[in-house]
Amino acid sequence: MPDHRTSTYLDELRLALEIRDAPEADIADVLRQVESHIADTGDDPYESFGSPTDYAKQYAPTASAARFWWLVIASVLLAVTGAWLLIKGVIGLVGDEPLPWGVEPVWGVVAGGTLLVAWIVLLVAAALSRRPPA
Amino acid sequence: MDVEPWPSEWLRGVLGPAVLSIVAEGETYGYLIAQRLEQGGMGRVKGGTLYPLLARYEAAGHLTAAWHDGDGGPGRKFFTITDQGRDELELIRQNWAEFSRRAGTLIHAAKERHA
Repeated sequence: MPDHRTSTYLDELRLALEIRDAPEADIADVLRQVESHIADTGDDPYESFGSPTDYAKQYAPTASAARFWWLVIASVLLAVTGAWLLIKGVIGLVGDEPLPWGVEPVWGVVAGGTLLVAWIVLLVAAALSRRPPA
Repeated sequence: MDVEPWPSEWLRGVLGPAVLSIVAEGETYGYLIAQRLEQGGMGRVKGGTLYPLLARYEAAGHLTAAWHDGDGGPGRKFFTITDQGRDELELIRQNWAEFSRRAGTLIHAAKERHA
């Protein structure tokens, strides 16, 4: 088992490689290589490999963080809009009040629920796309 | 004569050929390669320099690699030179000899002129 400092380094390196969109198989290989070297030498990983961010750039130099930021932006839009519509729809149903522009509250509930489900599907799809093929 | 550490710009040019040459001696793994480099007078090469270099040679088809499991540990990644890698090494050796001769001639000639 790697010590706490090595575990922390490996976690930071994994995140840095994921953000740079490195393939999962490459990430696993790079992490195992670091762990193996540290187990053999007893060196400090930060001393031997440099900062996780800089080390990740050597394996994924051209990848951008675009995928990560698109996921963040899409998540915020879907979650906030979905929650707002759902809450307004439920309040409208309970109070028997229409939504803005005279929309029936039930459509707010349906639209809000749909957006929240779409957000969850997006997160699951993003997580599955990072897994290596079985 | 205590001359280490060598300037990093010198090592950048030497490490690749040296690593390829070490792997050409037989299947080996990162830590042993680092030890051989140190024993050969290249100083202590850090993992952050060595492994990306090995990965580039692997991606170029000069080396192949396979993980061997360890006893409860992460195991070790062993590297083997390919025929393509041997051809590349042979070319490097020929060119290096000529480059080294020319560089030596230039450097020492400049020294003699200023003596």
